[in-house]
Amino acid sequence: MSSETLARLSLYGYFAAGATLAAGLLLAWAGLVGKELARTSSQTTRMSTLRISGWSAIGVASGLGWLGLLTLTASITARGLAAGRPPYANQYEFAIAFAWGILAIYLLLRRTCTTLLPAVLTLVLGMLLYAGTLPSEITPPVPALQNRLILALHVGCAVIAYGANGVAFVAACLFLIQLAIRRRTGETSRRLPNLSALDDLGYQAVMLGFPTLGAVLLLGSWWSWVAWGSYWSWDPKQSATLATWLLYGAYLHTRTLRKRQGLLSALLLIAGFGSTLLTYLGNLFFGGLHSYSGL
Amino acid sequence: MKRTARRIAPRVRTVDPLGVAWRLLASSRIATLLLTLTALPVLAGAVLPQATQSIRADRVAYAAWIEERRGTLGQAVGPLDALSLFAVYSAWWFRLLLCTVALCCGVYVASRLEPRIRRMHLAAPSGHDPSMRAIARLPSPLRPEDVSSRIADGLRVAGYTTHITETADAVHIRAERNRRQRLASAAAHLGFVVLLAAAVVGHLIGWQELTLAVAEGSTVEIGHDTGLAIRNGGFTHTRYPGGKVPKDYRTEITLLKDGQPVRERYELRVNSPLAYEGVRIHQAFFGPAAGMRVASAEGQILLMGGIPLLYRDPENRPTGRARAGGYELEVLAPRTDRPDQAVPAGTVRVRVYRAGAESRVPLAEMDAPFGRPVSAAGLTLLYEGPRQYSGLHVTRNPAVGWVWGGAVLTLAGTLYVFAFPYRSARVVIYPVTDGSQITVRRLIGRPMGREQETARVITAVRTAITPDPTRTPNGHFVVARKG
Repeated sequence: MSSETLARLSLYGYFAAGATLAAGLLLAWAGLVGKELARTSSQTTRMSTLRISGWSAIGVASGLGWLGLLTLTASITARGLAAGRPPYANQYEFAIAFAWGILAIYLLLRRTCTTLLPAVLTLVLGMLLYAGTLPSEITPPVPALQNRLILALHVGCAVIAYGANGVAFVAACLFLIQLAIRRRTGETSRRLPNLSALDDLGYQAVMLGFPTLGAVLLLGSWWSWVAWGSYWSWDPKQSATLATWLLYGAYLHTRTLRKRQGLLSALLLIAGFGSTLLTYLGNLFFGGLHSYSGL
Repeated sequence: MKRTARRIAPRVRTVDPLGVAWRLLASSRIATLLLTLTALPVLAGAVLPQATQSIRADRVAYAAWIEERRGTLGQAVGPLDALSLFAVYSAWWFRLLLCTVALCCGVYVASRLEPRIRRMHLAAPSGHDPSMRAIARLPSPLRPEDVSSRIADGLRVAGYTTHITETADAVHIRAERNRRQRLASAAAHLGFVVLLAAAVVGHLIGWQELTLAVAEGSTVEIGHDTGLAIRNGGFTHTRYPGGKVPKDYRTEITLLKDGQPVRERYELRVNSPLAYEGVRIHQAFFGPAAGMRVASAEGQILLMGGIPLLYRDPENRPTGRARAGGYELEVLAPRTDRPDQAVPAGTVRVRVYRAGAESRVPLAEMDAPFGRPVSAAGLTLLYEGPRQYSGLHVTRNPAVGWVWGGAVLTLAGTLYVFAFPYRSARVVIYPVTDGSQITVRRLIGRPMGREQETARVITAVRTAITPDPTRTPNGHFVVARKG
């Protein structure tokens, strides 16, 4: 199969994944709203979930999430085959990989919080929409990027770390919302997962994200050492990644406090994801060793 | 009612400053604060432009650089400069912050590894400890000394190591799981200290040359008492179709030690450095050079090869400098963006200075056309045409192995901590008239998954105390006798 055909297939996969996930998002929201309507209209608990042909809307949305993940995986694989290198060498490719990372990590950890799906899908679709605004032509790698093994490991770890940070961010946002509801009304909302489940999900995501972000720093330093003889040069992207890692390190230390501050932990998770986004989008204005955004 | 007044002697509280400082440095609260405080300037340094060391060293150049920033940052430049945010990573307060982080990690490691220090740090809190509240109370008809061995066996089966102590009023079982997690946590922190220490040591005893430009046909000494020199045997670079994106660039170099070749015709590429006796040579950048041959009046060759045109003059002409005997040559090539009236195509302008002289008035200035020797200031110069130079990074860092070791230790320790969470349970068995009352205290360890682990511990205890027909009342197995 020619690289043009593969590139076209990759693009079709991207659109198909976008459509699948958008449908999943609509269903997930419908499921949540339906659940709330049924609850407030004093129906019995058996009627409390919107159902489609016997399946709960959230369940179908979850299935669409899996389908979207598969389609996105196929799209990324086709892109990699078309380019003849790991498929995350520019901003467009990484945006899709970022969306894949968030979805994959959420689906991996989803057992605790199924009702988190709408928020996660919103973030994933946001990232896919952003990818749609970027130039999608396949660009050949500059000499520094021609180390395929380190490129695959370094950026592959970044995809997982960023995805995990995204999931932790969603959990932290919902934690804060839930906390605000409890402070105002005296009890937590049943539409959202409980505080403990959100706290656990955030922590689980960081358990994946923190070491992989550490691996990103280590592999990036190793690569810089191999390519330029300097393992640390305070390159803007390198520094922003270190700042992100330190913020998640601070978050992990809040977990060992005797009186654990859920609010502080959630705020640090949000700051950490802000730093993650800055690290990713910094390619647009940082310059330095990572100025290969393809824009 | 008769009241008796008891005079209570005032309790004398002694403050141990070292102990207080130690507990502060090892506390999670301080660690959280320090890490957040360190992350903020690191992020600021990533977002704000940072002045290079050479700019900072020159006061005039730094003032001009700051003035340029006013165009984008306006009035914020003054406060940002006052806070050293244009040179964050070399600011004294940032280095102090990093040292404090390292100190905290060191104190944490020491408090984990040294038993006496650990006791000081982990002194039991006075008064009621809410984290040790009872989570289950189970009755048993067995006596405490019998039931304790059964419970310990049950907890051991569940993966816990147990330690039984007896007091006057109860039997205590302390059960722990994944005790090495604490060691792994110490290793992760130790790795960070090693990494930072190695970075400092590498900075002090290592060196790096980041702008070593070697023109084709030239030989340049590395210096730093290495006795090494690099000869550029030829540079090639290719671009992808379209001509914008570089595809590959490589230099054929020969490494000389005390004038003798030790590596010949090595193909140096990005991601493929040359290492020799701890010195690493990397292909980093490239650019134009002017091929020059310079001879003295006596016919001695003072310079042969090329002069890298590393800079631009105010009129955007590629410019380079090189020494030739006791002279310094400045070469200006024609502009590349539009026709140059002052320096015609096919020539270079050469200015000759006395080497080391403070005066920047040239001894001679002339145009050197391609292939035609010209004489000035007692020198004969021949322009041999345009060439390329190869930009190299040359480094030596004896501590880099420790940097990798520290980083791997941090990463491995972190992974272990996450994979094998520490758990600690306490079971207290009180004697009662009809047997024992067993109290399971709340589990200590990572909050996540604690509920499942708590249920597992309670099940293990419950199973252990349930009467088993294969055991005697004191917990020993019944041996069936034949006949």
